[in-house]
Amino acid sequence: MRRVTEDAGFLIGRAFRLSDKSACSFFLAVVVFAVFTGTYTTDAKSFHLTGLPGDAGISLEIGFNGIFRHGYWTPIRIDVLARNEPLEGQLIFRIPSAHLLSSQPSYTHVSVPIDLPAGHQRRQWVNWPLLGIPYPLEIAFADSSEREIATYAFDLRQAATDGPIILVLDPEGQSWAWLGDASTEESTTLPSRRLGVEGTAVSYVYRPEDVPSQAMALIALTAVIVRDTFPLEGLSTRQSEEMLAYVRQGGHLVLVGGSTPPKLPATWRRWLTTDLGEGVTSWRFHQSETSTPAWQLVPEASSTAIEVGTRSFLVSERIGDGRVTFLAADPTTFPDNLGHELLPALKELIVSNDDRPPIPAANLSDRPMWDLAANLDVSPGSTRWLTWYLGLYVAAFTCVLAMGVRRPWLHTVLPLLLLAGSLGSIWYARSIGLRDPIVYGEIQITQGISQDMALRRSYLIVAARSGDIKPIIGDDQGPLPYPPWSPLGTPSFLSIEQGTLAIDDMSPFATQHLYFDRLIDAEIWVTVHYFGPPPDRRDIDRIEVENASGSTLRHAHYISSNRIVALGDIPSGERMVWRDVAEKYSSPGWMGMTLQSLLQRLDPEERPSLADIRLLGAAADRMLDQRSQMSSARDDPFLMALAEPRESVVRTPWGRTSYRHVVIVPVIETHTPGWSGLR
Amino acid sequence: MMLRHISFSQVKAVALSEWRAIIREDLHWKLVGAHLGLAAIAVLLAWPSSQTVGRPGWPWTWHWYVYLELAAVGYLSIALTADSFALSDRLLPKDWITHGGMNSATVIVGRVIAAYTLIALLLISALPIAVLAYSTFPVTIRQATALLVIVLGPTLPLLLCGLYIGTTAKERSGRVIATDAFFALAAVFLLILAGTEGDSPRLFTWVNPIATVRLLLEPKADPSQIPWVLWFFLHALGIAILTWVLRRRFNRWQSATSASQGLSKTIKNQTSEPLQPPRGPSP
Repeated sequence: MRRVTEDAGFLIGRAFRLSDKSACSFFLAVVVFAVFTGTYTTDAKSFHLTGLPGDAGISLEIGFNGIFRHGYWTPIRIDVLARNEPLEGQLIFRIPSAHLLSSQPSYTHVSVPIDLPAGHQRRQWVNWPLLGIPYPLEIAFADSSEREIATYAFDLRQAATDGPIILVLDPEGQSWAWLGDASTEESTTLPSRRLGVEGTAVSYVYRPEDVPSQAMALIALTAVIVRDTFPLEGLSTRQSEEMLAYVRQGGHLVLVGGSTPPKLPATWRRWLTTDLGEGVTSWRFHQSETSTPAWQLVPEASSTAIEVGTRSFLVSERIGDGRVTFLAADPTTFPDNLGHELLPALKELIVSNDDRPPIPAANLSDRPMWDLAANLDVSPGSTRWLTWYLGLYVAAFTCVLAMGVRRPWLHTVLPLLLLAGSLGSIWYARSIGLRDPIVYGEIQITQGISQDMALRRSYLIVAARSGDIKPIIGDDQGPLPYPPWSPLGTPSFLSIEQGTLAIDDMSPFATQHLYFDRLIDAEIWVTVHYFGPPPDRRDIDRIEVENASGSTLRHAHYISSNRIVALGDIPSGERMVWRDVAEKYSSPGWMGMTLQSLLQRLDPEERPSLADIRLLGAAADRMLDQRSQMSSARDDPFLMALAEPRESVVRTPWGRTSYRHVVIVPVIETHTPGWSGLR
Repeated sequence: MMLRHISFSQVKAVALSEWRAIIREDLHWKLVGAHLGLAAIAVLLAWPSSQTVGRPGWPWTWHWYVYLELAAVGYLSIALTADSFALSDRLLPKDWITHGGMNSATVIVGRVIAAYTLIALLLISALPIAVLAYSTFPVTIRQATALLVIVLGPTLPLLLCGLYIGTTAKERSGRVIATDAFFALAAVFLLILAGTEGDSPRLFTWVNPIATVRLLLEPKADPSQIPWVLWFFLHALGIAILTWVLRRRFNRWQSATSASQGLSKTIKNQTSEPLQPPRGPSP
């Protein structure tokens, strides 16, 4: 890998006639992954619903110019225009989900109410985890009498990819075809492909308002390229913040210079160290008579750069776990002979980011976690107080009634006793949440995906106690919750109103499963010092944990593929160091069981609840399984602990909630210098 | 038709006499205590103390409570009018008719009112327990009203049945056996006919309180699915038949009234003197 990245740097260097290969040393941190087949770029692939009343228009764009990454949160843009007359009705999405082994898909019906006066238009974004399966996503417009008058079937499989997607923010949207090599053509000789798009797909955004405003909708992107002519000042604060979050979690933002001076959003400027100098200058190449406008890049010492003479052509700096790369000039404006050599190398550099540790895709059939969530206890507590209360009432009423035979005035006490008893029952039922119309159970797994960002995944089960309830869930911090795939093919009926999700078909004592992701700032950092360099991972010298999460971490464990170390509790705001830790060895397949048995053997007063033990065991196994599928992080250890749950989304009506929260933090590995090999 | 023969002052006298006998023997608070205790135990046993969010199930507290009340009200309806409880110096319907000179309709109405007031006391005294049970399974007001009607609906036919049973045996032990046997047989019969969950309602469902209650306790129950006109008609028909049978039986005793005129005077006087044992011959 390292050789390939050096080659990429060498190619760029050679393009500029740079003799010193070491000028390209920044590539050492980059791992390359590229697929080269065919040629394909996409244009704005939105589609329209036709036949609407009053010549109204509804256009939709799914994913990035009609391409989405299989299993990831996908932005869907809905534009509604009411022309001659008001438009009233609802847009209905029937979204299929299916599992590899499922015989039939389960459908999620989401309705978006539309009530637009004549001459008005509205834009709305939704984000759903779409799957590239051979069932179409059906979209229909139903008028106020619920009659469907316009429908469209979107072929999910044909639009899905699991390869790189590069989003180019360019008002012209031209001359970026060299980045893409995706193919949608079915081969007649090769076996039919699983997903419709293969290779690197390039999609375009022409206007700032068309940029998705949620980082979760961007994480499927390998890179975002912004051309100098793109009006970045038109991005809202939210859009620029979310773009920054996308970079911090491991994304790649490429800012391409040119004749337009840089106008970066203030949010980005606070994080970037590269000085953009005095604006635009012009470059003249020795192969050509023409000059090329370029930005003046002044790199910070910590940044890596490729310089041509005294000027920096390329500057790359790390932001969180991602990168921001500045290109001084648009490479497509370079002379042909230079561009011919330069462009493949640049492409390799941009696409190589796709080998970062992947964000877990939206797991729509996560059976073990749902089983754990389903077993969360939401009982209204023990019956000890209730027994006392009922016993007291029965005794008091009976005694007063009995004594009233001889002392009739005591009968006046009976109505008071009855009233007090009834009010007491109402108060007791309320105080223990027995009268709550809804109960919630939620498992949260916060997994560090970089040193800077974490992904909080919530498995929420909603159970209503009567059929009149319409729970409303959601906020604007991330994609709205989404139901998982149902093994029974049971459909879910939801509606989106004012940015919240309403569950339309809550049957009494039935449950609705909802699943959602949030990107949050990392708050816990773990450093492990070994007596050997990380690939060897010999004995542990010391473990350092900094907990800035505002919550005590309970039952923290260091876990690797073959050993486990119990660290105990880590108070909030503390930085703790462990030396001479007691390591216990196990095999990867048994780590969850080993952890559970360790916890079970604790003293009863220290032992976590059975639900917590099961959750920790399942989370450990899941994490190790996830790691084992990643070639670059197969044996990377992590820290796992129980934490105080955070209220993740706003929910109405309020009800009894049972939470569990597990945090998983990737470990920063280092080794103790001066190790002699003996201990 | 029957109302023409009813003297309301005599009805009041019969009802008050019943209550005096109940109070004299402390039956009211013993019944209330036992009923409250049973209701409390039912609620505690069925309390949703281990509920999981994924399988919330139906908390059976409310179901247990409703079925307990159905059984309690049903049994008491029969037992109270069948004179199954040990109440010394109690005047039986035959006494009122043969020695008190009252007509059968007056006695029936008087005893039914006395039994109803005791049942009402039992139900009202359990209100705090009912509130707790109801909190675990909130049904709509319509459902709750329908449940109340269905639980109380069979009481009148059962009270009349109890009155009839009371005439079948002279000794209390015989009346107790007859009461318990009738209740047990009726319960088993109704339970069998109630069928299992999922059976579609039939005509007999609507006169079977167990089956109707089961339907009403389903989460999506709609009380309007009950054919109320048919329900009232069937109950009215049953009540009319039972009343006719009872009156025929009671009217046989009226022929002997003239032979005991002196005693009737004594009995009438006794009704206005509370807590005094009757001076006439024991029934």
